[in-house]
Amino acid sequence: MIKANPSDAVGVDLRDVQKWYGSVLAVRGVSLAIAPGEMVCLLGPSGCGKTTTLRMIAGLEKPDAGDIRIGDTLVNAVSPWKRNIGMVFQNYALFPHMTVHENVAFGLTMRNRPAGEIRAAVEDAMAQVRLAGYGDRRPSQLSGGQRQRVALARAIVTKPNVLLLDEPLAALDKKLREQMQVEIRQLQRAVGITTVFVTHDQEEALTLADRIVVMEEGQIVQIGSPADVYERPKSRFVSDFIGFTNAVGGKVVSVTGTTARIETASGHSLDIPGAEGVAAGDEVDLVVRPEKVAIDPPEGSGCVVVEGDLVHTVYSGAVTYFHVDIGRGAILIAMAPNAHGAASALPTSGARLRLGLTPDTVLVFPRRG
Amino acid sequence: MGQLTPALAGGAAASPPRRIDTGKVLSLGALLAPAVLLLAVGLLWPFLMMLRMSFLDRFPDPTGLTLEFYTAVLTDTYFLRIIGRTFALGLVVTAITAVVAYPVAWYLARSRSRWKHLVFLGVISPLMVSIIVRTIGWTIILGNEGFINAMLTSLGIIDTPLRLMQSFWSVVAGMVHILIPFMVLSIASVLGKIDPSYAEAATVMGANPVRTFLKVTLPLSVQGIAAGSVIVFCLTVGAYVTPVMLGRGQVNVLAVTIHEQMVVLVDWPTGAVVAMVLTAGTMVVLTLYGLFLRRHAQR
Ligand SMILES: Nc1ncnc2c1ncn2[C@@H]1O[C@H](COP(=O)(O)OP(=O)(O)OP(=O)(O)O)[C@@H](O)[C@H]1O
Ligand SMILES: [Mg+2]
Repeated sequence: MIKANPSDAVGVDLRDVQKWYGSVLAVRGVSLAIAPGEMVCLLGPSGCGKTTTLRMIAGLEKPDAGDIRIGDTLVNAVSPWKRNIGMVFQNYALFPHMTVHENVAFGLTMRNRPAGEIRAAVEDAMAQVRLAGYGDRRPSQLSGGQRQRVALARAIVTKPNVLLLDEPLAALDKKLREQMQVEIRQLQRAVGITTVFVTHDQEEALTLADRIVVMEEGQIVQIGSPADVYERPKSRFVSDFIGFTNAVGGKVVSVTGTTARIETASGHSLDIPGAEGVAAGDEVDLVVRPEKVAIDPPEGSGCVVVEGDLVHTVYSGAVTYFHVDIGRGAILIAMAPNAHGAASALPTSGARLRLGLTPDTVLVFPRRG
Repeated sequence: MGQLTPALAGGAAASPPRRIDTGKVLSLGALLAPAVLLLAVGLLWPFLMMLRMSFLDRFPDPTGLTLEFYTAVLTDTYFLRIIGRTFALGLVVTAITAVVAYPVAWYLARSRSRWKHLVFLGVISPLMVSIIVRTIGWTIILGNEGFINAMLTSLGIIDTPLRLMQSFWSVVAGMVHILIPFMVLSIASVLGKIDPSYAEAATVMGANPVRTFLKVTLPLSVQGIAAGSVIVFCLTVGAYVTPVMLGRGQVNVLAVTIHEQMVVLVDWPTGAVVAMVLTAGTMVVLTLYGLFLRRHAQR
């Protein structure tokens, strides 16, 4: 069993790291401290600089400004082959001219370890990813999930200081992806290795990470635990990205303490607690997750009731989304699990629906641009 | 009948699993016909004529078949030396071309410099100039009053001109120059298709640039080297103009000998036997290449 001594695990520290590609500033001043043994997910839309950040930790790109430390060592000028890193590439990059065994052994061979030790370590790693006995195959003779595991074994067999994974599951189908998420998490825990995982799939980030780092246009816009990021996105960008699909316009009428009274575009008045950074008169967006909108709430449940006409229904298997016009064209989407009954029992377009909003699930952000 | 499949429309009996799509076969045949015709008329027919001629007891007016000329050629040190020289020339030229071409191919495949196009033009420039002109260029460089001798003499390093022409190595130099574009283009096309993440993966796993090259990039580009080598080897052992012009009669190779036997000495069967030896040599190389490809296709 490959297992780092917990005291061996080292952290990674990025300070004001910048990277230019020609005239494009791909990473603009990223600072991030990753604790020893921690699993951090870099999450963000395409082109926000996740891969570039990862490649700078690996040493495959040189930062144009800022410092990168692995443990106590400043690695800015350390060549990638001296950094002791394990990396899984998006396409796995398994060497096609080598067997699976040779692939996994590669890092140890490069470290000039004795043959016996290499064989034992490779078998160990292969067993850990449940691929014992596949050593003689070529990568082309493996399924996508198996290749993924070989890439993982190859990355951890050298007991690296840091494990870097760049969208390692993007090429797998949904079911396999979910299974591999669990396996990677278990493996990372078991080995106790400091890990940076890149994804643009919010669910993946929530499932895997100790902490999520949300990036936008080369910058970090929020760092927090999965629950933090999920429940309390700090900006409209993060809320969009993390699944707050409802946005209703409004105007701040007054602010008392941290509670803002807001007049919505649909003509409702809501008191939202914890609204920061807004003042009376501001144009704002109210955002809320569809699953936090109650359908036909019981009387006295303490939520604000709004009524509207159902304009559109999206049936998506486990749940159904109801698009409701709550007044003056403002649409609020409510989600309900399809707990019982057939789809035919769902309300149809034109039906009048009562929806309940719990103020502390509603977030207020200044209207963008 | 809207749902009539092309296969049925083609008239073939629909009996899966071995359904022959006549339409497809016909159109394929039409596409291949010109090439097949050209090969048959330009290559196969002369080859068969030559093969037959190599077994005739005399030509013209043969009276029977014999192995006499094969025995004669393959036991005569004069011919054996030419055979050896020709294939040695092929191997040496191929090896030097590969070594010289690889870095250039690497540059062409990887560089994003705006000078890349100029380098590319430079590489293929030997193909744009007639072979005679190119070879005369080498004569100017290597001749007794040529550039190299003039320079060495004026620097006082030598006082009598070196015999650079008429030597095996002058032919090698000329051949390498002519054939380098084929090698560069073969290797570059393969290098360009190698995903850079293989080399990056090796680097991250602790391989320095030299080991990354030897363990990953070179093995992955071996197909390009092989393809280029086959082209260069076959063109070298069959070359006529360069050995004649730069060797000046002193570097006899198979192609020159074939010409000599058939046209100068009018000994057709001996010339045909020598031609068969040359063909056999290139066949061996092509067969090895075929085996190599089959092994590589499996991964
Ligand atoms: N080699 C390069 N040359 C020039 N620009 C680059 C290069 N690599 C990345 N970029 C640019 O840098 C920015 C960040 O790219 P990066 O690959 O880090 O994004 P990403 O977050 O990984 O995106 P994705 O989710 O699509 O992989 C992008 O605007 C991209 O176009
Ligand atoms: Mg990326």
